[in-house]
Amino acid sequence: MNIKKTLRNIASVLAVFTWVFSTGCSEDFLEKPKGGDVTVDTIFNTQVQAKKAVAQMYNKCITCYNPYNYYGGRPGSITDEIYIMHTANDSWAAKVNNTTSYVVGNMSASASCDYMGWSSHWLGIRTANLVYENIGKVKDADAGYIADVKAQAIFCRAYQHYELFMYYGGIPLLNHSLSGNDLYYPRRSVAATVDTICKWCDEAAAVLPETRPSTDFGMVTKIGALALKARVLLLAASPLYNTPDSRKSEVANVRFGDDRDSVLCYPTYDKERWKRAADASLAVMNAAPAGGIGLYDTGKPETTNGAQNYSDLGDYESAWNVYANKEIILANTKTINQTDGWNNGDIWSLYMSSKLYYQDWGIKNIVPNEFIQLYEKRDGSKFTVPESGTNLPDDVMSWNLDPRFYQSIAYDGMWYCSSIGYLKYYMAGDGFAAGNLVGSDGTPNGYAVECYKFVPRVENKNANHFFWPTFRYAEFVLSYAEALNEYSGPSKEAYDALNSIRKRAGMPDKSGLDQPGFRTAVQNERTVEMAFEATRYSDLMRWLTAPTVLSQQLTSVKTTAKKAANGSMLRSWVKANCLQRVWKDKYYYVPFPSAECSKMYLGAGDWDGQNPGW
Amino acid sequence: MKKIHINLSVLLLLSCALGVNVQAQSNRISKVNKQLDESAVVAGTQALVQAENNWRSTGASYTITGADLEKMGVSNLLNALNARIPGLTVIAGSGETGYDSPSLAVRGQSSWNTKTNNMLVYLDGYPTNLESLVPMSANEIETVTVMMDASELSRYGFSGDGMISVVTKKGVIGKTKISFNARYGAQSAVQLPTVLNAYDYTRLYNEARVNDGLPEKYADPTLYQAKNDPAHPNVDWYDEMLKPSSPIQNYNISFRGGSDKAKFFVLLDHANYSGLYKNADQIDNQLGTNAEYKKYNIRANVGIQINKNLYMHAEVTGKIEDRNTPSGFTATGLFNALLNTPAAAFPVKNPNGTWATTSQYTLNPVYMLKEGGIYNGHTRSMQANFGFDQKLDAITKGLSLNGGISFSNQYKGQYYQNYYAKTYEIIKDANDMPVFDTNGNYTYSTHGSVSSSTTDNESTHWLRTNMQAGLGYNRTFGLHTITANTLAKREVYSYLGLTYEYRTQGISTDVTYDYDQKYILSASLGYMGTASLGTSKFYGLFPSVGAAWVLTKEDFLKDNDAINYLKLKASYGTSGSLDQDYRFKDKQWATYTDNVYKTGTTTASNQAGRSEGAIGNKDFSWETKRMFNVGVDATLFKNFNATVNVFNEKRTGIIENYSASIPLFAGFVFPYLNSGEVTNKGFDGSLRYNGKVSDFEYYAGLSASFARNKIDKMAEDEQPASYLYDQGYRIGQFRGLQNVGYYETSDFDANGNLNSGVVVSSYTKVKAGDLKYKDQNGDGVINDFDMKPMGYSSLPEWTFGLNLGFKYKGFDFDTYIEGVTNRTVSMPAAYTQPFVDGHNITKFALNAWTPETAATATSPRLTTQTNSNNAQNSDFWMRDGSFVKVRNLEIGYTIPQIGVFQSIEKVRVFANGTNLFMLDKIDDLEAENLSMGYPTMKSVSFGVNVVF
Repeated sequence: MNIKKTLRNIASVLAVFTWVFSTGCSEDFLEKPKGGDVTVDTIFNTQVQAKKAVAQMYNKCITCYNPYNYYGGRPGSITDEIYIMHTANDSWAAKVNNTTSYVVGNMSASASCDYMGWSSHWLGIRTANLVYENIGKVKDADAGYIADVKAQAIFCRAYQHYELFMYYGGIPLLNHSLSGNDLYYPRRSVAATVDTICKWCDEAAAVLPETRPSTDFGMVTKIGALALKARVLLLAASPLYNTPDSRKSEVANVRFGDDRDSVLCYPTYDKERWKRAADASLAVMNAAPAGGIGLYDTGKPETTNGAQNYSDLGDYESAWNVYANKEIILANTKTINQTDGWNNGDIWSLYMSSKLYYQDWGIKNIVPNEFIQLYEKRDGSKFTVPESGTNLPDDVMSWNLDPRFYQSIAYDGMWYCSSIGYLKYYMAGDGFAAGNLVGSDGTPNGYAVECYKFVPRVENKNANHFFWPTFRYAEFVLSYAEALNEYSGPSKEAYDALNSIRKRAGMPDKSGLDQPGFRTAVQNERTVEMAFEATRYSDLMRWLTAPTVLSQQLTSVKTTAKKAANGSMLRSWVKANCLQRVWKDKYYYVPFPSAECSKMYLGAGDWDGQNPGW
Repeated sequence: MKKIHINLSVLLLLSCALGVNVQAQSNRISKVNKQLDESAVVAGTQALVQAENNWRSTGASYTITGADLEKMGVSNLLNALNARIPGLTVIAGSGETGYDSPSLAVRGQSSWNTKTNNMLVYLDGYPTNLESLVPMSANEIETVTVMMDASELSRYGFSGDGMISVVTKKGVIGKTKISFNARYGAQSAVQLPTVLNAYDYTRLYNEARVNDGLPEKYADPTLYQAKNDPAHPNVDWYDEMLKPSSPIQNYNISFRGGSDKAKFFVLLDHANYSGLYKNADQIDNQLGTNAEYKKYNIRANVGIQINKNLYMHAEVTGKIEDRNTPSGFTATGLFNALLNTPAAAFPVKNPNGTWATTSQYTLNPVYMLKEGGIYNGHTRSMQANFGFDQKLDAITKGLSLNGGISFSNQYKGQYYQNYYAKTYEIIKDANDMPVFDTNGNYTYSTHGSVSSSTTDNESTHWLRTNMQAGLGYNRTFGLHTITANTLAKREVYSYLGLTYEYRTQGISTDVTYDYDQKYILSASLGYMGTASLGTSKFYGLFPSVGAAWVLTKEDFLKDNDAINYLKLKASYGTSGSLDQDYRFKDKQWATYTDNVYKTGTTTASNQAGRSEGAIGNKDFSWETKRMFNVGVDATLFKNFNATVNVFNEKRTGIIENYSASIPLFAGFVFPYLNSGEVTNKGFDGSLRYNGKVSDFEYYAGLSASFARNKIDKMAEDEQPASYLYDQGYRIGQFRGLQNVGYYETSDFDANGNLNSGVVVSSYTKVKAGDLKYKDQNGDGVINDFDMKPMGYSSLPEWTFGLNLGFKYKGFDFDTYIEGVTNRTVSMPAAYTQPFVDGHNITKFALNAWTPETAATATSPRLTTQTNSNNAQNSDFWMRDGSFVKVRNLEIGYTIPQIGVFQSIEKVRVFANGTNLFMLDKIDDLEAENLSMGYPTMKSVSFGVNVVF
């Protein structure tokens, strides 16, 4: 054996391997390379990164009802505003708020109508708290920036607490991010919940600017913080929480009759709460001019026939078609004009909000006759939908309703826009083929009336200008009128407020009403003015009108093609049932998810914290 | 008569082979090599049985040879493994050639995070990805080994999901042997679902509408019985689209030989499988095409004896796979369309020559095939290994140094062109009659628009580089023999889109000692580190011990006539497993989202978002599997071989995103914990009998494996009933409502409301003829709380293989039969639930519930509306997923070496069938592959093996 040769071979082979293994060995081979990490610690290092956390905070806290995922749906679908029609309506079309089970009385603790869902509220609150706690670490920001972001974080946290309160009643209050060591935060009383949210609104309003540069539209201002406070106080003053003795029997089913009731309502009625609500709304109105906010009123109540441009629109329709118009106090700017596909905003305009825009299998958002009847006739008198008619478009025009009707509701035979022309929702008849009925209509059915608020129409079906109006000025004018009437009857200030909204809409003034009469008027006005803008649910609950309104047989209008004497086509129509609504008193307070109750943190002692009846 | 399509390249290969043959004849040493060759065949038939040649092993592994795999006429090597190896479950994928990779699982499942195919894959001793085995030819494979127990796995460290090791053929000393294999045949679908004709569709659709309280849709279904009425079509879409069979061909040539200086094995392989689409050959290839899978495969293995002590070797392989399919739809999408498009929906073409669709059924399969464009997917794989073995007897006898480097990579790209054109729908009135214009022509509405697009991009690529070096020791001292290996390893794995490479390094060591070939002790140790944990907690220690006792070496069994060989063995040890999705969970990472919010009034600009990820868990680690294996290897009565292994595995530290018991209002994303536990028990084994009666040699082999797992610990939310937890049941356990017949007419009052006392469905308002379920918790309402565990999971617990064959004179016969049981499947909604969601109607719904047929109905009432009561998971839709398939059947004849064949070493011709027969418990569908995509294929082929 040639030992020398062998050793030489060994040496050369070892050398190769030593070299190969040693490359890259200056650092530990298994150590993750430096750089590229973005952990929570590094976010709050620079303004550029922090800005992304702030954007996420808005995204998670300021609810956008233009759904940006697959399971969106019109928020009004659980009220009397909308009946969603789609074959798959119980699978995806309205999944986000479990509409299908809700409307027939089958809401459950595992499938509630909370639009965002229990946990997402808390994700938002945590994000806001993290921003609040960490923004001070940003090295390249001045004190003004940090104070502003902190105030925005307080507002965002307050907004999510408000949403929780609106659905569930008293809820845990969290003003800091949890680490996992302290996790016992039970439900708080209505009084504590309301006071805390209002306190946060005050803190935010004291710091937030009245106006922001136009590049920052979508971020909250002082007026936004005041608006949230006004909304919370109006809610708190309403009979569901602030129940007068005369109405206690209406909510008896949703009271425990013991200490636990403090999370459901105030212990006793106090009229002063209406005063606080009125003052808070007035504060919004007073602060608005400094922020350039006010009623969008150019003196053009009606939309021009065949409208193609913004300038053709009536003032009411402009208030949500014109981007960043003066009436918007705060908007979720997640516009519907997303082009990156199914998982983004365009599903709202294409599929979820209506079949109008897509002219194909999108969902039909039927506006029931029962809701249509809340629109007064142009002269202010009450309107009832007739049983049938010979040609729907002619009939609808002859009804001569509140201009706001024609600015939000589309119907078979209506001229929609130049690229779509006249809507065709009629069934086949008299030798005429059916209109544009495709599989999505469930079965080709001819339901003929659909909501088109927030559906692109003018400016070439431009979807760019849509946003979700979180706070619109008109709401607070009506809140002021309502609260004032409850506190001291229909004063001049109350009438002025109510009639300013009616005047802008092109409707005659109200006058000479007593307190209950004014209440009916202002509630109806609010319903029509704020229609389809996600306020109806809360209003029906707090006014205690839900049991009546949400137990109706909802009907709509069905059209069939018919040959006229001259051979042209008429859209003859009849009333048709769409849905028998079922109401249950326990609906007043949305149930917590069962799994959460089983963790026994919501209540005290043996009580799991669940709302009554669930 | 169709032109038989044989590629030019094959002819080239053939002529090349003949050319070399002339040279080969001159140095023929036939006798010796012939014997060698035959012994290899015998080895093949003895696969799976660990007999004497494996006597030092204390663990559980099974090996089969390439010769066994050659008998499967499949394009994808992984599909040749079906039930071949006890303990390896092969779960069929799509039937579409080129996209038909199955999923593999070793000894069932022991973690819910384990994706199938998570096992380590080694090719010639170096790691690679499973998909790189797909285009390999059985003719280049020496052995495939699956390793299952601690004694085999611990040394590799992160090998908790099992391991598959493929070794290719190497050169052998002797004359150069040239083998040529050719195969030509045809494949066809095993089974296609039966859909109803247009008359039945329209008639039953009307019935469904009446059930829904709606007017009938089709005024006169009999119109659909007419032929050639474009307004009332009756199209058999399967027939329009598919031909009964399509050709397959596979050729390869290999050269194997060597001297004491150098050894080599070289293989060239080519296969071409074409798809089932009809009339697709004449299509302009700018617009449409048939499906086609082509592969080219080259291997070159060389070994050089540099000097007496140093041996160097290299294995190099390159593979090209090209897949052509029609564009604009996937095969799954197409087969869904064939199933879902009613015969009455639209004609293939309209009377005016345009393509037809409707607004509801937007995909005209024939149109898409012929004019939709082409899709081309191309895959390029390469592996190059270089290794050496240096004897170090100079230092101490029996010592050696060895090691090597390997690069393994794959590139996948795609090129496709899509063409869209307008399609036309005949307008019909309320009476289902066409609307004519004033000239008496059909009137049409149009769908879609004209557009085209071209895409050319890389879909992925990956690269593994591996280095290893170590020492080996093998020496006998009298009756004592000791072997030991220690190997230092380093591996880097990266792929497109990966920020941080996967890196592992460590040392694996194993020592085996035997005394007089009677008592065997082994121990192994894996000390492996991974960069995926991102902490100082990189390294894990994975030890194992094993022992074996060869009883037949003892005096009391020596020379026993009945028991020729008997060995008992046992092993115990651990290995780790870290799913690649769970990396760096020790740290809290921020997640990034584009466009979460917009700001600005004029040019609203998108704002990107950052939010916190799951809270970091500084103790985060891999999952650990403890394995215990006991086995027996035996040879009885000389011809009867058996191996049986029984195992018990416990997996702990299973990764979970623990949320139970923490209030959701905490708002944070919960940390990943190593808290789950699963037990997995079972056995696997094989028996083989080889017999011979004069010239008649025969064999029979049976293999079986069984694995049953149970979730011992899993973080779950509180549930109102014990059966609602996953804990205590198997992974992937089927769950559903228990069907107890149909709601009957007598269950309802005059208003259509349920009588009191009749169980209510929370899913929808039921009608007579809907499925009625058992109220498991007795609360009077059927909801998710009534869903009980039922049946098994879709992964079978039992797998059987039966191999039978004989040789007589020149004839040989071999068949392989697979069976699985303890498997549950659920019938696909598209097949079983007609009309809703645009579904067609199939044979399944022919006997639907009506008041008249209530007693004998086999499916719920027909409806055109979504019925979420009937659509719930329930035992009504579940089926026993057991099946038996004849995977392979081959008859061969070896031509005697007389006359012109005298100079040729071997010429064998054969006929082969794959998946020819099957048995299962599901009518009209195939239990193995219920997904309704491209069907499983069967094939018949003829071929020749020539050895010069």
